[in-house]
Amino acid sequence: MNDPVQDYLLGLAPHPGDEALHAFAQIELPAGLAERTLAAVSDERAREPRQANTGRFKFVVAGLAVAAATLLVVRGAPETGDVSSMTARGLDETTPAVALKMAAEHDGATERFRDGMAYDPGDRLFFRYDIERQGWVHLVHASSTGVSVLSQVEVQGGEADLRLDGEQVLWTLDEADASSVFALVTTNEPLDASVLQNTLTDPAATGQTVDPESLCASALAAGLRCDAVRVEVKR
Amino acid sequence: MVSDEELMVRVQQGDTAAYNALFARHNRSVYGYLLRRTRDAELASELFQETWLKVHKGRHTYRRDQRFRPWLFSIATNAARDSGRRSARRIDTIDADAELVVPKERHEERLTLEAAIDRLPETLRDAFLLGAVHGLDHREVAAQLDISPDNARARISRARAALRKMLT
Repeated sequence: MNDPVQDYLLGLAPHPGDEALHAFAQIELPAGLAERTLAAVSDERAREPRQANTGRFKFVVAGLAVAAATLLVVRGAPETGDVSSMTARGLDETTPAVALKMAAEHDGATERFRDGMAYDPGDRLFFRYDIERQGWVHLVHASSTGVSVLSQVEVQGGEADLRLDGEQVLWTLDEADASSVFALVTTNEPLDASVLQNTLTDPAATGQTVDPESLCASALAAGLRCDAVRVEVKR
Repeated sequence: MVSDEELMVRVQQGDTAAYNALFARHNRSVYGYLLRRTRDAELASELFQETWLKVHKGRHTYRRDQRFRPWLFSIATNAARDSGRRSARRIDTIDADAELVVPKERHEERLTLEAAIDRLPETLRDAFLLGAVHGLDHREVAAQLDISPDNARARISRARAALRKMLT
């Protein structure tokens, strides 16, 4: 025997070094396998819900009293967005229109979200969508720190609470949300979060004040449908 | 160079480039392990894809205090094991302590190391591949194969003895 790797594997010689052993351990992949695998992973990424890296975005276990209360309140709430008004140059008319509705847990009670009201840090927001037909709904948060895609889920047409894996989504406000925007953006197919983030106007990058109109304008310009709401939080 | 463990933490945070870096580093090792374990190129390719999909889907199950390679190989091992169950492949029940009998014809020609590994009983081959070839320690091998560390050490030792018997 004079092959150090073989001798080592047979217990006849000391370890030949990581490099030599790795060279034996590794086998070249068949043509195309790496590409197919990475493509499958990429497809999986596109299919799955997206969640921002923040502890304030959470799911509420279905059946909790607060979620039930939210459902009751929000079902009767007026829309905060107008589905029919969403038009823009470049708009893909096949993309389903959407309206975002929100409820807020404030002072221990869950009630319809109020435009212009300054909420307290620690108050929680619940989200509901009204989409004209089947499509993908992306929940987006924009603030002075940037744009994040919080969730991505395929839904059927109609109105319902925004859920992931059967659990209602919520956002706990803090002072960093002093003036931030939540938006629902729809697509016909799942859209990678990074692509969507690059598509939307980023107030952190442009130095602009975040506002619902500019956020949705950037979505609409890309052929997407959008509805957005500004949220104020007491400092 | 950024460690595997650090890259995996980045993967957990949604960093696609970190995932691709881990894939580039380890794809040939994973494929080598699966091909030698299954001895079936088509099945190994299928399990390879399944393994890397599970690395992505199961990224949040990775604990920051664990070594990446054993975690990666445990996914590959489980994929191969589940595949074996699905296809009702032969379950090797050779006792690691039993005397290994090398068929006579194998003495008649000099085997390559690769062919000799291929002829190891499954229980010995799995432990040998993980421990000797891919560098997992006895406890890591034991955890993957649901055996004791002593048993893992014994299987690797017996695999080496069997290989010597076939190759010399």
